[in-house]
Amino acid sequence: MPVSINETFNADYDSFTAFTSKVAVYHEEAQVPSHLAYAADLALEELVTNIVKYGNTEGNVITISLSYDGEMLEIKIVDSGSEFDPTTAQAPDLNLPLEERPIGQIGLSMVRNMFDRFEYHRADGKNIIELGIVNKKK
Amino acid sequence: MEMLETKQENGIVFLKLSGRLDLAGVGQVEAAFKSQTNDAQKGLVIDAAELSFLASLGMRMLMMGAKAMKAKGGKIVIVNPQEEVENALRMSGLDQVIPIVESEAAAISELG
Repeated sequence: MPVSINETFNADYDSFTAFTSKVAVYHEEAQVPSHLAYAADLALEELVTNIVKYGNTEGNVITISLSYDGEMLEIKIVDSGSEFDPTTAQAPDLNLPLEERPIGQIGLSMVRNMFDRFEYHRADGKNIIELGIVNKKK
Repeated sequence: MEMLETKQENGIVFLKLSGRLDLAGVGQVEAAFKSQTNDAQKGLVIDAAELSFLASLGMRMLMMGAKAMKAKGGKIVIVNPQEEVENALRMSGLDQVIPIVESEAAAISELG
């Protein structure tokens, strides 16, 4: 059973799409329960599309590690783009009609709701996001 | 990601979405989906039984469709989504504008 995935790729949509097919293989091989796999895929999609969209730094690369040990799934996302803390991104204003709420906020608030740990820090000019979710359905 | 038109009846277009509505999936079906929301007069019924993943970009596509339908007095209805997809729809509040039902018959009665 593979212990973890650890990959570095260019911060663009094509590279991310290629990476997601490796994640699908990992979920399969590491027997990640479907609800955790879903949460992991959602976090990766929401956070990485944000980095690609707003990270706008020439030559930005993203390094992602993902592991599941039967109890907990952990993800670490590191990029060298502009400083952005997704954990403090504003929650959607629930009084606004749904179609007027910014979609990026909806994505990040779903990640916040699903994960037990969602932390950010900036070090050495890099954004470092760490996420963890416990397998509660065991 | 695949989108299939299964039928059109009384101004209602029936679609089946299969696969992952993520960044790549939205890229594959968004143009076709938009043209379906233009064609449908009364409603758009989406069979989501084989939709395995829904990210915020996919939600945006559905939301834009719901908005276009609402402008003509219609609606989008989602039939029979998988558990995780249904959770995402409810968590995001999307179910307030796009009703979730269990059968095609319920979708048709939802569209009145």
